[in-house]
Amino acid sequence: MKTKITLVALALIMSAASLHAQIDGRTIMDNVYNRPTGNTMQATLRMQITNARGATRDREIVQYSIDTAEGEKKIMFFENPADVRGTSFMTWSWDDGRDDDQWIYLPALKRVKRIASDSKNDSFMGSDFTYDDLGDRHPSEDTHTLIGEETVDGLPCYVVESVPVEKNPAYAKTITRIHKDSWVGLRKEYVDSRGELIKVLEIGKREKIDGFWVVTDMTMKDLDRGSSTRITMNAVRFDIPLNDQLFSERQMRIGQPR
Amino acid sequence: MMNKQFGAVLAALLLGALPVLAVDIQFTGMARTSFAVTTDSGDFILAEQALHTALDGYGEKSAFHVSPAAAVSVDGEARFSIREAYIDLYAEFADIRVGKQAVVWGRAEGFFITDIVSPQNLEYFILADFSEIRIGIPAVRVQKYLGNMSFDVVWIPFSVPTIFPDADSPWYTPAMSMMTPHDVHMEGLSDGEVFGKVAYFGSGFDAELMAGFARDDQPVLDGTLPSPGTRYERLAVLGGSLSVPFGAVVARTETAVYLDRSFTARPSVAEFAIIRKNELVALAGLDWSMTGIDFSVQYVGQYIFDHADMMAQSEYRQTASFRIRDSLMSDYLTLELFAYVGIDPFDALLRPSASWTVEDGVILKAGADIFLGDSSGQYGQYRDNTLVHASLSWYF
Repeated sequence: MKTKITLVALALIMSAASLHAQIDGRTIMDNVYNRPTGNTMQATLRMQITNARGATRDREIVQYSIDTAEGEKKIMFFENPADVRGTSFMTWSWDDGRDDDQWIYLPALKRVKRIASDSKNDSFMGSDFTYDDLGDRHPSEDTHTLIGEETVDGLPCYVVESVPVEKNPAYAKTITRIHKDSWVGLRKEYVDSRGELIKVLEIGKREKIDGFWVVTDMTMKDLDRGSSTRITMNAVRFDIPLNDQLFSERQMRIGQPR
Repeated sequence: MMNKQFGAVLAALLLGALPVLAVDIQFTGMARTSFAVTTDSGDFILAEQALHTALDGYGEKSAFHVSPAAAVSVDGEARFSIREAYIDLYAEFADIRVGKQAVVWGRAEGFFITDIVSPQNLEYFILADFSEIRIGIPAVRVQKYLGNMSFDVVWIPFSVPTIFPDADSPWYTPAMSMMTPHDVHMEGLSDGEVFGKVAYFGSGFDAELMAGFARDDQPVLDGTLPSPGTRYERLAVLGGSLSVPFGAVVARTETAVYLDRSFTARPSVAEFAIIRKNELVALAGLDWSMTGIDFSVQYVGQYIFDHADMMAQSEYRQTASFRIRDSLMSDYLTLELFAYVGIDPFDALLRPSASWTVEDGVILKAGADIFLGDSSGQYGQYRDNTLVHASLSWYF
């Protein structure tokens, strides 16, 4: 009996190993994209931007997101610094390929303004992250190749090279180390058209919260400018009851729920 | 005077009700030192310390907001005002806001087309921040949200006119000489104003349709005897706005028809009586971003139907605006150029500026307001007032 169990276990291990051996870059990135992240999420983001001279600026944002039948809705409320307090930013993303709908509310103007969604490569609030870096880039937007396996901080990872499909991308390619078990990216390198490394995203901490893996500490370094931006996430909650009306013009004006 | 009394009474009520209403209190504000010097004469046209504060309270189904502001000029003249003071009630059937409030409608930037619910403070022409140009009005506002639709009704029990510069102000013009002081005239409920709006906010576009029965915040001069003077006449307005994204560009339009609007006759016409005509104002604009730089252009055309020669205002007026804005060095430095251009007569107001973030919440700003062109134009008339300015703001 014991021999039979050992053989079954060995067979399972072999088939799993075979599965990993056959896996390709696109499948890995699909697994990363489709990693369960809950239907709703709430978190407080602290963003610390450090310039080349070492001066730092802090941003604090409260963020809510919800998965809908057609895509995802996300709303951000800017809490600090004081000169941007009350500003809110909302995105509706669509699974059917429609352009995102994006709006910004500026309390000084008391007006919700629609903004173009085609600015994914712009800096997010003066940080080293672009809007695209912070969003869920769909795997179909790049061609993915598994180029090796490595260990990052003792964790076994796939190394995937992703080349953008679009004609004028912000980066010529990215190289991502993805943890084999959690499908969380642990390090990402951004390479320009000359083959030079221009940005590096490093993960400081990943946690399993409410049953979902989430990166709670990450730092983007811009090697050209010598600047860096660290984002830490606190008060992370998944699958909390959120009303669809939270993701509305009304809420942008009122501010975050209290 | 009535407006100030109303604001003070409401502020007192709000402050008294604090412990009962709110469970969460937030005090924020901004202190600012500003200077402006005319390039022609080197005179200080502005030198003041200002403090703008806001006290907000949040309950489960309610909120309040009070925003006192004070300013002291170098000659010691002090001013105090309560810009807004209102209570929000989030009822099951609708959101209700009661009190002194600034209402902002429409999609135009720097133009007031359907955005005519709140009057303007033009003491500094149009150079103040847009947030400071609008005057809070005593009003009851009811908003109902149904999915992507919203319905908005504003009732203003007594109208508040636009504030114009004092006679000793560099922004004062001879045309303002007959204007009476800008006190609120409360003539009973019949003097009130009503505005309504239906809006759609959703995927693909945002749109608004509005209507109003109001008293024109801009006065006309009535020279007829026996009581010549300033009049704030009735008008009706129908309008709408639309905002649609096309890839990297957002197109905006806003249109209003002012029905039976009153206009001043030219002084050369005997007894220059008020003339009533319909007026169309329409805006088309584009916003886009390129390599991280924001651009915006707007064109506004105004047309008076059945125009008469004796009218002081021309039949057509065209104005354009242009804005380019870039944030550099991790948003430490922001450069901006905003320009108004009058097309006939040709004149312009160019507003270059640079803002430097000293540290989070502390902003140093410098710039210029350059008036150019025909001296009969709305911007060219201030050619002698071209100025440079600097300010240091501290947000808390």
